Amino acid sequence: MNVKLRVLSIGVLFFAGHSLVAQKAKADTTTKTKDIAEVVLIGGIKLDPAQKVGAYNVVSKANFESTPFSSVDDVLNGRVAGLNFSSASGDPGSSNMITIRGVSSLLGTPNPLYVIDGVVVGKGADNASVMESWNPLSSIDPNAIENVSVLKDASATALYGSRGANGVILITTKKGKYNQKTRFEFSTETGVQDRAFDKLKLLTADEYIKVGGILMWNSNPAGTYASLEEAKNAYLQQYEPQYVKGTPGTDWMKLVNRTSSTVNTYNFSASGGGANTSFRIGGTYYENEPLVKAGGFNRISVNSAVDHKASDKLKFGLNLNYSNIKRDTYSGGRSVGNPVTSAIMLSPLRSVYNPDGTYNQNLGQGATAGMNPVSLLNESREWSTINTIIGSVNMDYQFVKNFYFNSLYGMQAQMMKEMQNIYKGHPMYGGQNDNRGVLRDARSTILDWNWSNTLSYRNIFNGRHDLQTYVGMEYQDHTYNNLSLFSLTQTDPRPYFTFAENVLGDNSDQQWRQISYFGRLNYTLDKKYTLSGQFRRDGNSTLGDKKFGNFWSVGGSWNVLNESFVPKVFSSLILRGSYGVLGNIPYADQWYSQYNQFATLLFNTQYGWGESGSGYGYVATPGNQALTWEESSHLDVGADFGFFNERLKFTVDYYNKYTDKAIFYEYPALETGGPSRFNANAGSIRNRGFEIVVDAVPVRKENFSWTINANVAYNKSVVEKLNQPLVTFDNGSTDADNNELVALAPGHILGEYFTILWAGVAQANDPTKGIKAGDALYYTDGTQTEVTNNRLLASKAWLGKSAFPIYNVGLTNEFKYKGLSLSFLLTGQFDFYVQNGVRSYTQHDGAFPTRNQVVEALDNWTDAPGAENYSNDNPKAIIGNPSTSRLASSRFISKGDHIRLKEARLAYSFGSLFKEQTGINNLTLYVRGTNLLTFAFDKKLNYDPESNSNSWSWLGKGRYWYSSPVIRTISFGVQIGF
Amino acid sequence: MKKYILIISTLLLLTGFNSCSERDLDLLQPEADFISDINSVERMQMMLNGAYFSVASADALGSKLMVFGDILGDKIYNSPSRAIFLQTYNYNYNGIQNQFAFYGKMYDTIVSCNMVINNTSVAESDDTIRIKSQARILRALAYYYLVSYYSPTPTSGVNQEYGVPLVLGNYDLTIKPARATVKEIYTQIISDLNVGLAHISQSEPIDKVFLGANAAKLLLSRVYLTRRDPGDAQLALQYSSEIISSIPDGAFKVGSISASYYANYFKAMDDAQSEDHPETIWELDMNFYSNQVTGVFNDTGLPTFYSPGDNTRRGLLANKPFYDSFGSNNDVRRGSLNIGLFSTSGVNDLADDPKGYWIMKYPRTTTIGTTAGLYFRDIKVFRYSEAYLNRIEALRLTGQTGLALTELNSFAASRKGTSYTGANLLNDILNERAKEFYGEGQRFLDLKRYNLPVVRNSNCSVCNLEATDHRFVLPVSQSAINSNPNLKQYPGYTN
Repeated sequence: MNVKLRVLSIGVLFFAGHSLVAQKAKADTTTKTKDIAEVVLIGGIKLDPAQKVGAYNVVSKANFESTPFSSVDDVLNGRVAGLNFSSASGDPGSSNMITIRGVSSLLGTPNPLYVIDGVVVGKGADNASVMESWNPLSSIDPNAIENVSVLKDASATALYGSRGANGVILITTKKGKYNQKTRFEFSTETGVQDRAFDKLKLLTADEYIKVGGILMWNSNPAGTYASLEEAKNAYLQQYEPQYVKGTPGTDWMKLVNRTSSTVNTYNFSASGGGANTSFRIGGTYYENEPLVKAGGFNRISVNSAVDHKASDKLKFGLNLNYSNIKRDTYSGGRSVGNPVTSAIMLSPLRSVYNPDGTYNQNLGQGATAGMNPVSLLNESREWSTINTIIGSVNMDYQFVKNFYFNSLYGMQAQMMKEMQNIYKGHPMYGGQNDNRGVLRDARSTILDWNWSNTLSYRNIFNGRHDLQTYVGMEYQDHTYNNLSLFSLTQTDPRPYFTFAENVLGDNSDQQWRQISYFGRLNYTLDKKYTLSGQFRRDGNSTLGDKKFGNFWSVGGSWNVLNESFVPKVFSSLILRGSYGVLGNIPYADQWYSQYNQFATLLFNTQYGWGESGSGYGYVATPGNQALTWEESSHLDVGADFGFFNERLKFTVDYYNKYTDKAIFYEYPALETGGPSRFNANAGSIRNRGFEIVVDAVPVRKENFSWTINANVAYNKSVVEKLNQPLVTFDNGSTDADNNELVALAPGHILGEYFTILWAGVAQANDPTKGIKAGDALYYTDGTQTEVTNNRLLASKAWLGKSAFPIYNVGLTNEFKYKGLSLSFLLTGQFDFYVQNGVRSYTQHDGAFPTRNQVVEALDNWTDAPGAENYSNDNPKAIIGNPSTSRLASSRFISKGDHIRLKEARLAYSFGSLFKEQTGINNLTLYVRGTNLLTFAFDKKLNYDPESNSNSWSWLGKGRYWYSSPVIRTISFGVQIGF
Repeated sequence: MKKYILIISTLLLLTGFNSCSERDLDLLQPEADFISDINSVERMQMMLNGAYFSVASADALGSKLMVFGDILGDKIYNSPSRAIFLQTYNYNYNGIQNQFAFYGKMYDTIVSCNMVINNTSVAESDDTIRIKSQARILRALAYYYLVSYYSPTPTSGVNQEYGVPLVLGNYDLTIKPARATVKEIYTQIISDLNVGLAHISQSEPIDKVFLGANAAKLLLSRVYLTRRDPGDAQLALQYSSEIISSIPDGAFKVGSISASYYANYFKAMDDAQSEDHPETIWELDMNFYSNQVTGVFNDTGLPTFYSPGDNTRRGLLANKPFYDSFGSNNDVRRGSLNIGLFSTSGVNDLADDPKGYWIMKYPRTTTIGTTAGLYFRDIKVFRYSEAYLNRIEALRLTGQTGLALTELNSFAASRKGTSYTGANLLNDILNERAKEFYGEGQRFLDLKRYNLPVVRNSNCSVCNLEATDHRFVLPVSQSAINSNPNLKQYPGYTN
């Protein structure tokens, strides 16, 4: 083994220049071209150097510059076939969920792998230890991006082997150009944001009283009240005695949210170069005041790239990006301490302040004592500072004719300081008493570095045989160090531990490593026929006894256009196919799952039982020595063809992706008495689908052009095998890993909805079944032949759909007239269901008499005089909701199908109009909007169908979470080049 | 040529410094130990402490198990204005929908105890014998709670093959055990208690959060009174009498007990009057640090559900018929309203009819310095008063009904409670038990072990539970069955 290593790492450790140049071929409007976009991967290896073999899309920089989005992944939404995007939270800097060709793993984030200038930065998974959600990609400034390539099939992703099974997104930042006078660019943008699609309305004070009166009427025997008015008075007397009739209600949502928020960005860059050296340096400032009061997000980033040609044979390159982010948010996450979530539950009849000016903490069942949301916004805060450095150094050396050596060292370092400070009077943590506050200070350092060395031979024989071979080796090391101090006994609001009565401390180190060997061969004959093959061997430290796996892929393509028999109508025609088996470790990007091999005990002497308490011990990890690589077999067949001199182009792909030995949780029997789950190779998933991309230029005149890009993708993800007949995710909490409505089972769609079927509301008594009018009804099982009003007698049934849309459609139209350009992007997602994750907070059918509800509560069935409503959707509300009709069932599932005007942009470019007078050679003004209009097919849907309640697992998809809205933005910007 | 040789030799030289090898992939969690490494007395004690923490968790005896024992009965109800345990109170549970989470916690306790009991790495000494004995008693306690709730009672004669799985080995993640019979479980419980009792020190532990001889004897008497095989009643009589003969001063002996002394045992604000009290045989350690592990907090602790101090979540009250059954305020277990152990402050914001009475046994204590606190009052699981009542029950079962009645009335008199005629001696004994142990998780198990129905006289939507109803046995959760296909659900539950 060692010998092999040494042979392959020949020439280690020269730092030399190699520029990772990914130049997008000018495929948009003006020139016809048969060149394909040249994408360069690690080690100087070009992806499909002669002609396209793999399936991938390239998104150009025009889409990234001056965006109102705080992170890179936001921009890809709707622009890439087969890519589905949802954001976890409108909170800037929060993690997003992207799936490419469906979900390929059961565990971990479904996101693809992001590679920036050769540095593998991970999958955008959450690194925060305190904050609810923190997206590492938001530290990359979208303005510094040259282009983004989205790699989708085995042939394209094979070089990222073990982490590329979900797809790879290659980001290349802007570089300078050789022999170019230094150019400067400046741009700025201001935007206004609000919620994109939100029809959740809470009851006003009068409506709330009416609902309360109806509740009393319904819950008491007939004849208790003479009229609804009397019932309302009884309600007020019993439950809201502090309310003085006629006083206006409290609008809690308004107190907690701003109606709109603002975003400002400023960018500056300079680039240029001499004969042998080129450089680019840029800086950005991004500032966002989000919708929730007390939130804030600032990012300063500096990026630089230097390339140097020492000689024709030796090149060096250096990329260095630094960013500093300050983030301010409220505390609370998913608990009752979240002021945004509790604002929707609070009775409008309760005041914010007491007469003496202190916060009113007698808030009924909407909030426990101490959780007045206005006081939480002011007195319960989280803030953090995050410094990220991403850098890479590379060298490319042609040491012998046709032989090249490339070495790349990339690193990413993140240093986070997260603070949480909660004033006394807000008992958010167990063990905290009313007179003490909370302080947490968590410092994390994450260091990822990878180093790869490649040797290649590239030659063209006889002008016909184009051969490129590569062998290489890569080493990766990832470490996470966290130190946190925590106190539940702060005596002073200032965030220092001098004021703590006792302090709990904790530290943790996690580490994992990976070693890979790979070889690749590309052979093209006559520029017509290409064969490409790859072999790799990967070893990962987080697995069990067998840490290494062998993987491979082959691909071929045929440039039919160069054949004689091709009809003249085609201006390009390539047929291609690839198949590969690649390894994957789905949890690799999330911390605290790195040690899986051995069963272990933890002895903790911080907490003890009894006076002499000497600590306690417990089984910490079950250990699974059989854990090995997940294997993803990916077949892709596709064609790229064009007509009319490439004015009409199509890209069509069919794929079949099978993940075998999928790693998932195995749940040992509860009787084993140890941890409740561990990672095991538990099942298999199949993703099948097709993608169609159409690029058309219907009009191309000298002054006017019209370009259309459309993409349609169909994908279905089915779990074929699983280690258990059924896995459900209802642990009874509001945690991110809880989702009561979906399940996994062999033979079913991944994440298919599986729940009790709602059958509406009984309109008449049915004594044979003990049903009374107004009762909530459920189907007893999936056949939907019988109904019952006893939720315990209803069996769960499969609904046939999941939260992942089967069809994803994007349509971009761009019009250019002289200096004016107008473009808009429409996206559509079809054939999926979404659920209201906060349903238990917004509609409770009377379970909590002093909690507010949405206006749909006015629709509850009732026979109260003057307010009769024989609803079919919402049952009779009774105090305590003894029938538990508010609990999970298909009542809270809606169709998510929708069409959205995702983006519209109007820009005017002055070109070099001002050049002579001021030296400005480009001045562009623009107006841009995102998520402007949404049309949802289900009329009753009152929350955003692109919602997502957590992005580090597929489990949160389609689950609306009130405090994480999808945002609509309208912004105005200026770009100047000189 | 020279240039090539120079280049290649430089490269080869540099590869010599490359030290990455495949051993780099063998990484271990730095702060953990292998599962086989219980190799010192300290570590054995720590594993035993881990077992104590599991049994004291909020899902188990730390909170919920104490609640279930009462709200599944007929003396304490869940106000309909509070959702907290309303489902369970209404017997609205099955495998996919229930509020019971202590099944797994009990097995956590059992397996931790197994690893201590089966340990052979540490040389035998007085310490290891003491630790192993406690582990046996704790294991028996865990099995006792499991079989009392998740299996039919032995004297019901029905479904006796539905015991709980018997796990006696060390940690093994592959096991998928089927249910043992009820008989086998009781045999194991009694065997563990006997072995533990034989080796444990006969003087009580100084720190009452550890199990000692009296705890073992009390549990043995309870188990014998539940099983009632031939000879069991005699053994129950023997053990309970042994405990009575060793009751310390300061416990609630049969003599005169003042109302304030009794009430303060439970509700005093000062821990010194309530914790480590002579009356207690075994209590659960609740303090700022231990609660971080057990999860007993302001939304899960017993004071949250019972105490008048917590406006939004408290919802468990004694019903009026039960309150009235004490006869008068003279009974020290009732005391004067709002001064003794019952209170009506704030009861009007609930829609109950008739209004119930708050129970003051689990107060939210005010902070005294930093050590006392809201949910940090030790929970008393075993106390000496039970020995008297167990003895009385055993006397009745061994035919000495006259003596039983006499002692029952002396017991009641010591509490200044009403006396009994003996017309229905069993009911009288169980009612006296209810008056003594309300709020302490016993009533449901008392009714169950004598195959009596639950009959509620007020504040109920489900007011009767026949003795033959399958809901006397709790359903195992669907996820337990999913991960252990050999576990069968109790008959009667469709889901």
